Amino acid sequence: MRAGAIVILGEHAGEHAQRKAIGILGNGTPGNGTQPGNEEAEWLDGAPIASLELLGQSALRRTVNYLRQAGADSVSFVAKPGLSDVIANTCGPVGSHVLIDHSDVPGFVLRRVAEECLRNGTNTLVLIRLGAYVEYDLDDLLQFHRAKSKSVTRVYDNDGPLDFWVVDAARFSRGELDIFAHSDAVARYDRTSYVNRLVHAADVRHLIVDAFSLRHSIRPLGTEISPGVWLDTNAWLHPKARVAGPVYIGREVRVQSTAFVARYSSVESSCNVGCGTVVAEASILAHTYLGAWLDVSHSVVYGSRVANLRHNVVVDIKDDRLIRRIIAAPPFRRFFPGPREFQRPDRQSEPSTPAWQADDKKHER
Amino acid sequence: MKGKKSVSVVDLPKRLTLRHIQPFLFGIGELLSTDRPRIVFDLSQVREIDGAGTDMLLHCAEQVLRQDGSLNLASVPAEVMVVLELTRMDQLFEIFGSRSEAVENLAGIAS
Repeated sequence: MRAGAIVILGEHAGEHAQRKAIGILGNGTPGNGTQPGNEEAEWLDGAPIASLELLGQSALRRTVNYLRQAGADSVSFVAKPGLSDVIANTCGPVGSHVLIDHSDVPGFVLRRVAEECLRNGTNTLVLIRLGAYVEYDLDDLLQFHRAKSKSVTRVYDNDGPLDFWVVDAARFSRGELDIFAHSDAVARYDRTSYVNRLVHAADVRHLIVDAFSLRHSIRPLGTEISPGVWLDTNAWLHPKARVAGPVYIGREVRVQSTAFVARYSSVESSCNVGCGTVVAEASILAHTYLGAWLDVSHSVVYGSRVANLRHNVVVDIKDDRLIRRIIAAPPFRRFFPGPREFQRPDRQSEPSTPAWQADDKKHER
Repeated sequence: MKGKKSVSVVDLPKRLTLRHIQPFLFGIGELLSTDRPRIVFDLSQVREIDGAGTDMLLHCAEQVLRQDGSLNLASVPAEVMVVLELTRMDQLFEIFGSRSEAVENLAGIAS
């Protein structure tokens, strides 16, 4: 399974800008300029890193929030099958619209979405394959695109191209644009303020450390109970536990007696840190149980796995007395319209759809 | 088991888990009971270790200390090293990058 994470932002040609953002989530490394990358990087714990909770909120959710603040009136996602739950759990409450891409035709769903935007009066689309976390000024990017008068603008950082484009909606919907082309037809935008490609566990640590060091705009959720120490909702510290910032303790976390969390560490929601355990320069992802008297340092821990950055290995800890996943209760699903299903264009039979999706059937082939 | 002077080198099995440590312990029981043993555990073949495995290492260290001996670890793979550091076992042993270094260290102590 392979897909790209893309955000489409549309603008009216006329006076009133209509900003509708459409996000497309999937896996794969950032493109190398000619092809999207493989599907094993950018994933941890069975999900894209961009969808994992870091300092209380995923990069995906933060991107969506930014788009809304920048004026997007709705956000939709196109996802390959199997990823809709990831999006729903991450972005459901922000009024997202999820489109499931069953087609094997590259770009088919994207072009359909672009056609919709055109019908709604938009003429410029922003495509972001949601892998990297990028901070940028959306207005500046769109103005740059207009000023260059080229059909495609691609965003770059010091390490090369990002999977982030601004394109002409009409030409894109007709399949006329090759967004991976290296040519004078593509303008280069390199005025991003922060980029983290979120490819491996080390990038997770960089993002966390950079947040504590104020190198980007991400701030931990919760309350800063003392300088550099953030405590999120219902987090509990035993009176004999110690915390030395900068540190983030997530929602519903339990830090047991004589445990010590220190030095740019993050413990995400619903974790347990056992008695006497030390967490230093490490990130513990959500729903992880750490046993007693452990020393977790220079690592990213997710489920039963430890990605040790000093030794550059990932170890699966089979002894659940040491480390294990805490099985979470099924998340409460707020009601929002279910995903639209896009099938292969050559399929003869219509998929069965519930009555409340009936209106969407006219958009399907 | 190979020896240099009075140092014994033991190759640990591929799995140091609950199901596999008993036969190993049975095999080295006599060695652990000798007077002032000088033992090197070569972990280069170890691919899996759990809490029982680390407990076994601790048990061996206790037995050796009781006999006024020394126990070094050698050639620890990165994955095993992660578990030893996780359980703080790395603070209880001298760990060497190669078998020969560990043997030289104990030979120097013995002489």
